[in-house]
Amino acid sequence: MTFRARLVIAFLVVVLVPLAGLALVVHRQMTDRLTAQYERRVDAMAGMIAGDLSEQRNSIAAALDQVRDAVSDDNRFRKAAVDEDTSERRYLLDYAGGAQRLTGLSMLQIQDASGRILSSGHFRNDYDRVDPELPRLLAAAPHRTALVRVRTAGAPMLVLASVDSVEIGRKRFTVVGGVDVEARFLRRLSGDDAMRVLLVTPDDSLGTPPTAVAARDGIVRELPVPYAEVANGTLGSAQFRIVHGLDELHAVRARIDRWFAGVLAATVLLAVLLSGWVASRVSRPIADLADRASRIDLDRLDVDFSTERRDEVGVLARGLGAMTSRLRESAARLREAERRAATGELARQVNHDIKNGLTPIRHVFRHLEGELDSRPSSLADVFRERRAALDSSISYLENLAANYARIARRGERQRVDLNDVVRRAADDRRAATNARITMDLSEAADVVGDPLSLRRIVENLLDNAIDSLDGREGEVTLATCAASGDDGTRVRLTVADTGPGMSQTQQARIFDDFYTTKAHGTGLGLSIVRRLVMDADGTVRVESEEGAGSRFIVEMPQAGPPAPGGEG
Amino acid sequence: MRPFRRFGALGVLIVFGIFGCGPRSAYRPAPGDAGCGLARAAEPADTVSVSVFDPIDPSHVPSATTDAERTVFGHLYETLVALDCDGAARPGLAASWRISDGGRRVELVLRKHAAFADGTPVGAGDVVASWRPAIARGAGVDSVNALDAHRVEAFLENPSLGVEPLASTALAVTKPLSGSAWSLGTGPYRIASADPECIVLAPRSAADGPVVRFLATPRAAARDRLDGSVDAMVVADPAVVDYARRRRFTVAPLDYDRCYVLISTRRVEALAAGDDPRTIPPSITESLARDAVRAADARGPVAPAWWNGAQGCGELAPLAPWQIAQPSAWRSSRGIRRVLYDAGDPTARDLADRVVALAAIDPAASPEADAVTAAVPGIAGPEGAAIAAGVSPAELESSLREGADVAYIVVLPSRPPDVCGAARALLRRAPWLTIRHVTLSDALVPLAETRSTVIVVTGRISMCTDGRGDVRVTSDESGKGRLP
Repeated sequence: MTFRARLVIAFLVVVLVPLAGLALVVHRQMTDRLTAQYERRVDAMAGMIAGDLSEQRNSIAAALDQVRDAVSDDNRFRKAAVDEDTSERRYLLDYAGGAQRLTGLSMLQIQDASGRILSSGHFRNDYDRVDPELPRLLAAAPHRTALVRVRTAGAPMLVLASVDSVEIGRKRFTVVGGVDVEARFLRRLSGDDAMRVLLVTPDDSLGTPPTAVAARDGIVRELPVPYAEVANGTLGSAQFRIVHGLDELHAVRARIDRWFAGVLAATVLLAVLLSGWVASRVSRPIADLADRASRIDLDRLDVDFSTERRDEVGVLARGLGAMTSRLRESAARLREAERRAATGELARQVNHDIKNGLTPIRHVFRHLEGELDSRPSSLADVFRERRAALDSSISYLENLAANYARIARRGERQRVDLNDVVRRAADDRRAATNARITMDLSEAADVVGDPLSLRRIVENLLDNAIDSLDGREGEVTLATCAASGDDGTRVRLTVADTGPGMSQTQQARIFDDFYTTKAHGTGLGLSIVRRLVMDADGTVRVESEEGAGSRFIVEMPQAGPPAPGGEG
Repeated sequence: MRPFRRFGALGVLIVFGIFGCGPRSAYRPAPGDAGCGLARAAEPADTVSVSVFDPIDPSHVPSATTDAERTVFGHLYETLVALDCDGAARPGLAASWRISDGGRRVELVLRKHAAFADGTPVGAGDVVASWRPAIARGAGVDSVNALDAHRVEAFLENPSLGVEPLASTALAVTKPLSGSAWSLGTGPYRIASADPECIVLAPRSAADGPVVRFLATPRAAARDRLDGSVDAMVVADPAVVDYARRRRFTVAPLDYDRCYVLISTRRVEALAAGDDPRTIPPSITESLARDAVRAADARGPVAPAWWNGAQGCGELAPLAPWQIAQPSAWRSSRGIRRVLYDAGDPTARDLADRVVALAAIDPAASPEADAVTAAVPGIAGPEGAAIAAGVSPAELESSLREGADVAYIVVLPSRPPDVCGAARALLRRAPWLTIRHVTLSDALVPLAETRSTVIVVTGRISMCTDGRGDVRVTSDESGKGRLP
């Protein structure tokens, strides 16, 4: 996992966890408060309905009291009801209607002892119908009051009714009166969209509007009210069901959820952006340092770690720079040591090589000396016989001297056109080899160095590439181009061959002194190349793959523009 | 029909007894008498005021739809033939007539110097032009032609009924008046001014009577008007009549002229299936009328009903039997069962309420309930009893035409001058009544008859009535009214 990813996750956790916690707390608090508020409203409504019911009950009782008193004092009523005087029959039939209007009741009927309706205010022409159940059920109800559905000429009317009785002339009459529940209660309670009041009776329901509401969809309170079921002669129970819907609560919750979601999304986005920015501000310099550090090796100690930062990264960068500087010094000392070691080794090697060259010569001279002593006449024959050995040894020593001269010499540094060096080396070698030598030279390839050293570098690399072909047909490509580096523009020389290539092990040692893969090689060619390149402040490396040839890449600082009036 | 007139005449005799205007016997108008006197003015006034309780729409001329229209139209328009108190034909706009062709053709001679209210003479052409719309609607006349300027010939639909059908108000002679909503008539009065609150009629001559102001009055204000400014009114409410009697107004009951009948799709269905028709005994209809009807002076219906005589009218149904659709209430035995009535008619409401109330009573426990539920089978069903529903006249007629409800309370004239025309008019309203040869006499169940009462300020105004039951202000001291 990258540093940036860890930083993003850390930011998110630090910000989102408290925010989520806050959302949950607010959610819970709001729900609890609103629910409590709704419950209070529902309880208040229930209380109001109970109060209204009680008030109506008292009002109906008072009205029936008035009717009872009026009936007792009314002579014409007596004549009609008690004496059954037919001349007053119409007066009797109309009586309840007038009394109902005066008392403000919605329903009034006067019945005799058998339950026969003598006069009805709400259904005038319902006279003579026998209905004993209604007064009986009402008399049995608490407070002698109950809900009842009464007949009218049209649809039945649900009333809150009470019963009273009056005795006139030893005849008992019942007076049943009531108020319309729909008009007096439910219509008045229907103004609130959030809270609904239903009246649920055993046979029907009235309400605003009569929809089925489950308890989970709202806060429900029920207020039981006695209900007289006249049809089956029983006293049951109806309920005022007060339901406060939770739509508003759900809507508020949804709004808060949306708000929190928005805030969370914005916070996540901000956290991602911020953490990305912080991560980039922190990790990029580190990554840059890591990249620069990865380029450090003994051949490449010119990596620049300079910085103006004053933070930890700056400290690290300056530390790496100091380390690189020390490495450079150490590498110089190592090279010097290597040079010295190589020189000592060289001296031993020279001693060894000279001995190797002189030993055959010594043998030949000893042979000649012996022949001179024993057979002076055959001295010429023996000399001719052994001359080849002398020539070989002398050639060997001449070759050895030439190679050692190449190591020792350190020429003068000047502006040199590397392309020119490459062309002359290629022209010299082209006639002596079967390999096809091709060139791909850039326009400008001026470097600063010793011309002879540069020629040696090119010739050694070219000879090594031609040797790798081992007399077979192949191609050697010499290319120059510009390359950018931390210290400016550099000139890159690439010598590629189509030879057998090298293994990793061979690549690791190819620049070592006296390491050779050739049967008669000295092992010094590429090591000389490495030293001469380093002397020119350059780098050399090899890229090779077994069976796919090798590429030797030399990079040296490009010479700056020439000084006015002459070359530098 | 004559026996019914006797009942009306009896009421008149009571009035005459107050005024000493005639012997206490059945009234026989003397030749020239057009009506029966109701009240006599001791000191005739120049202008009198009469309360009316219904809207008056001049576009209904000449066929009145309300009692107020009947009263006002009766002063303005005349028919060729009038009816006396016995219902016998008397000269009206026509001075004389001759019946021929087995009673089918009647030749009438117009009254001399007969003129419209603007003075233009009335000619035979005016009669023909005026009758044509009525004939198209079925007014008892097949056709009418002008024989010359003063003679017309009319061919009657039912020759057996005499010329009495020509007394129908639908055949009053009128002429449109340009720029006025009111048509011109030939009656003793003309329109002097008309606005929604007051219509003033002026006599065409001083001998015809005083100026009459008809004042629009809410029904609830009837007693206030009696205590106030009016001289007369025609009311149906017994409470107002009772109040007038206590205040010593002159109270003259008119004839029972409105018959409330119960029409039931269920009854017609049962009759069409072959059931015997059950009638409601007179004792029960009498108690219905007495106890259930609060808003009018009601009595049980008097048999035989006029529609029993419609058997002799020939083809009554406006549609062929195969064109008559079954009442839609037959096709649906579910849904709310309603007894429909005109919401503006309190008597119809009272009767509908009582029918519905009786439907909920065990028939075995109440003879009244038994009689009504037997007369209207199916009024109580498994879903419960029917309900009474007051609707607008338009909705009532629409449902009646379709037969969409269980039963209807409908008002019919008690004694229409044109029986066949009245029967046809009823069948246009409810064509299913005679489906599968069910007769009107079987289909209709009469419940009650009502009448109106004339209340006048004693000695201030002379008023009379006629065989149609129309009430008019007259100038005649006898109160009998004369021919112009």
